[in-house]
Amino acid sequence: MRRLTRFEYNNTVRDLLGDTTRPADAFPPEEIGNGFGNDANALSVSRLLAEQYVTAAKGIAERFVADTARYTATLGCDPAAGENACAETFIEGFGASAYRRPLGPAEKAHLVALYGQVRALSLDFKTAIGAVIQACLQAPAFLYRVEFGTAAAGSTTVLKIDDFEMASRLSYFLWGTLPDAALLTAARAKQLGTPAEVRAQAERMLGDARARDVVRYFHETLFGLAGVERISKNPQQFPEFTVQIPGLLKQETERFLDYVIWEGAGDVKTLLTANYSFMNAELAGYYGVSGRPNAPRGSSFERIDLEPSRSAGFLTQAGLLASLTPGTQTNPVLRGLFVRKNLLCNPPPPPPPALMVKEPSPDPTLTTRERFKAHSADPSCYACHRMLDPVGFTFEHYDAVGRWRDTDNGKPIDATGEIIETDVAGPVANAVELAGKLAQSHEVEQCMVRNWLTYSYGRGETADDACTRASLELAFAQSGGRIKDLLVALTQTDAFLYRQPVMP
Amino acid sequence: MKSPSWLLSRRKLLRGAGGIAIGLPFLEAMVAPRSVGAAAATAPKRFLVYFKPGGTVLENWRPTGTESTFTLGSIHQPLAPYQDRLIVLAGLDLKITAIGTGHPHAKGMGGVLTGRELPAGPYETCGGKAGFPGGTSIDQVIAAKIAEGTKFRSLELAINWPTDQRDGGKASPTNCINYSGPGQAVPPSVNPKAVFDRLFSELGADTQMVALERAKSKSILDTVIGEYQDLVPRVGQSDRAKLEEHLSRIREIELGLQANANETTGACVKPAEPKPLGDPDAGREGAPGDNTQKNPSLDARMPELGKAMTDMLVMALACDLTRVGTLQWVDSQAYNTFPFLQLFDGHHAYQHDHGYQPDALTKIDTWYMTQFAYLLQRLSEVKENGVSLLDNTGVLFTSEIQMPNSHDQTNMPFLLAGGIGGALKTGRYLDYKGASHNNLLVSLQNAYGIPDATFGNPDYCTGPLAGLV
Repeated sequence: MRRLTRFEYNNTVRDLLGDTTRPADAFPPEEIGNGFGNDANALSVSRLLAEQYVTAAKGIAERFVADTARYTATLGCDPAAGENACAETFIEGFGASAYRRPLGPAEKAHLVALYGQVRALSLDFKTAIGAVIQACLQAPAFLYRVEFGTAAAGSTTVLKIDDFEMASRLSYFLWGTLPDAALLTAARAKQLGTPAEVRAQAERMLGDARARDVVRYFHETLFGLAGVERISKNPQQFPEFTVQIPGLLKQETERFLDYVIWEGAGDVKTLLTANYSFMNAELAGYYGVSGRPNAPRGSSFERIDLEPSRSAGFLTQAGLLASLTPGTQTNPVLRGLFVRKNLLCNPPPPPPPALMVKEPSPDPTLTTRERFKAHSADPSCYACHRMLDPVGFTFEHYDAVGRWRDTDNGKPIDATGEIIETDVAGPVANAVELAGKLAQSHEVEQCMVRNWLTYSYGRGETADDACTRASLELAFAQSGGRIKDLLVALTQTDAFLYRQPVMP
Repeated sequence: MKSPSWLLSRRKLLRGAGGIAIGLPFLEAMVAPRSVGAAAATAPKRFLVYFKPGGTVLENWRPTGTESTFTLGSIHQPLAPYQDRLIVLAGLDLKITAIGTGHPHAKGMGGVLTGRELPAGPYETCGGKAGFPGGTSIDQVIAAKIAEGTKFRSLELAINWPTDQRDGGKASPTNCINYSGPGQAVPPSVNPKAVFDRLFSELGADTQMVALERAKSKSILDTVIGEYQDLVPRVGQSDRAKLEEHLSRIREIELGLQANANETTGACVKPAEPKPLGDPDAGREGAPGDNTQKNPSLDARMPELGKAMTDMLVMALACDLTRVGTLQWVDSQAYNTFPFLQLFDGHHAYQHDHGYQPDALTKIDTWYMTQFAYLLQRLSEVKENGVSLLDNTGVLFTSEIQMPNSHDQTNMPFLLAGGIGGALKTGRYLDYKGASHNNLLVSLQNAYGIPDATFGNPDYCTGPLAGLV
């Protein structure tokens, strides 16, 4: 059983009732769980969340009935010709959309009874319809994706996902929202039962802009870019980092990822190594690349080719590097940890519980690299930090706000480093070389598969996933690491097509 | 003079609802629990938790002197006007963090109010993958005892939370301190405007309108409850637990519909409406549009947002909308800067990421104490039954570690303030010489009429602290 995330709730009410106010932004955050906040086992319902479901539903219903054109069109009948009949028509149609399947008889009866009760409070027809909407938006069939499955031919141990359940599986995985008319029509016609039918729908759906939203959300979460807009820096030290810059940096990385995945080569390698990006004139000025031949001149974002020795896909974009630098000094540990954890799925072990390090006060005359040398001087630190710091050092040419620098504290930058305990281990001269190595790494591809698997299935990985993962890794490698192909492959696994029976 | 706000005016409500077509049985149900309290002539006890992350600089925190005659440390100077309303606690250790999984920051967050360790689980804590603690936090335990009949069982507010926004700001053991049950984190509200709407929308509203709106809400919630009840028996065990948890929250909300929330009496006054979080001009100095030297981030707005949250929290107590609350300034990641103190690195950088910097930390902690003093001032200004709200409240001030650069969790920086309705004798400096902090949680629950002699993990608890309550 999955619960709608804030992202999915916003998308769902947009597509259900045309509500674009993103009401779920006010919900308390999801428990992070598997890293994507959609881990069904980790989610619990606080009093605040339950209240926010009430508040959001109320706001959505009120906006809907106040929008006369939309209300009239959606209602689909004229209450003047018979209020009760019209209410029943609406309840059946709207309920099926909201619940992503036809209403059961008891469900319908409850909603009809609610309509009657509210009407009996001397409240008008519209208000009673609004109350029905409020109830639907808090019902488990709306907030949760409950699956029961149906008998699978030739198996007594697993159940097949039924057609309406599959419509929702596909739409929430690939679009982050409820099924469209084509999916529901296919479900009614029982045409979502075979892997080929599911694949055909998945391929169709990837051509829709809603798929971009999901892929963007996934990368934003995986690469930790959600907070870029909130980065603030010391204005005395970084006067160029104006309040506009974080938003532009976020756009830059979004535009870059969108382009590579949907219009460009579509593979992980290009994400890590491309030496172009997307900027407007203001952002190009911020980076100091306004002088490049195809630098954008206006306020809209355009592709810009960058100096190949300084750029390596999203890894050298300032949004990421600044977000890995809380404060004013670069942090090689956080930058190294990003590579190990988010790209390689191989972070170092945690510090031993008894380790109690008392760090000294900082020496203002040193460079970042010199300050972090303390880690290598102490064997108890270096056992783990050797996996982190030498990776982070390769980014030293990028300052706390992600711009190129040649010196740190007046001394020339030393960006040499090393990556160990991976399939592409070895010394590297700088971040661009590091990115080149990562682009050749099977472990990076495997990590991407792992993350898509946990995101799309909405749970942490289990031992039972080993076979699924192996087949996805193979398919991903054969497609040359193309993310779109991986998304289709994820709909073809047993884990996506079947479920375990309910153990009461 | 009207009746105190914690007594529901039965007459007013019935009269107000009389003009509309609501069945009387509902109205009876609506007033019954509160009208029983007619005998409650004294104001209720309240409980607050006040949290700031990152421990403290102990040498500037510790008072000097004896139990009754002591001089406050430099960090506590802003509290000088309230020294007689304080208990400075020394020698209490977060012993529970010796066991379990996770980084000390996360263990401290999970353990400080629950007295429980973190189990293994799915959450990266920079020190092992941990889960949420397996117990209920002290605020929720006390709420179950004293918050009966209020509209909100408890309030959890935060100012700048969570400061690690890289994942979109999700709830984890590094940022949650309140737990309504084992593994059930209660993430705080962070948007002051949303808090204002939630708390005070009914305050001062027309009684008839409120009654009508509540009748409608009750019908909707009854329908929703029916849907959950129908589904629960059809799903598997773990899904059932999730749905039942959700169902119990909806029932709580429905119960809250019976509580008085629209009368303004005595000290209960609707606070100023705070500016929304997205307001581009809020918290800025200088002309709007002059962005070059301004910092509109939450960091810069902390003084303004903290004051707004404090004002709302105090009024929520004064209006008896709730009796238990938590104000968490910042989570334990503490990436926030303090531009208004001219400190532009993250709090955590001053703790140890960039080396231990006690001067900056002392400045930060002294600022936090100034904000804490403001809370005590506001509580002391609210008068009820001839005493102050502070007299009826207990405030626990805490952090998740003690020593910023080593994560040492002995000698935790705990303070108590307020009288808990006469249960707490203040103006004292007490040293418990290495006792487990679980014992403090026992004393607190005892002060609120919960007689249990243990709290949290019993292996780390030996009973109440001698002489505290």
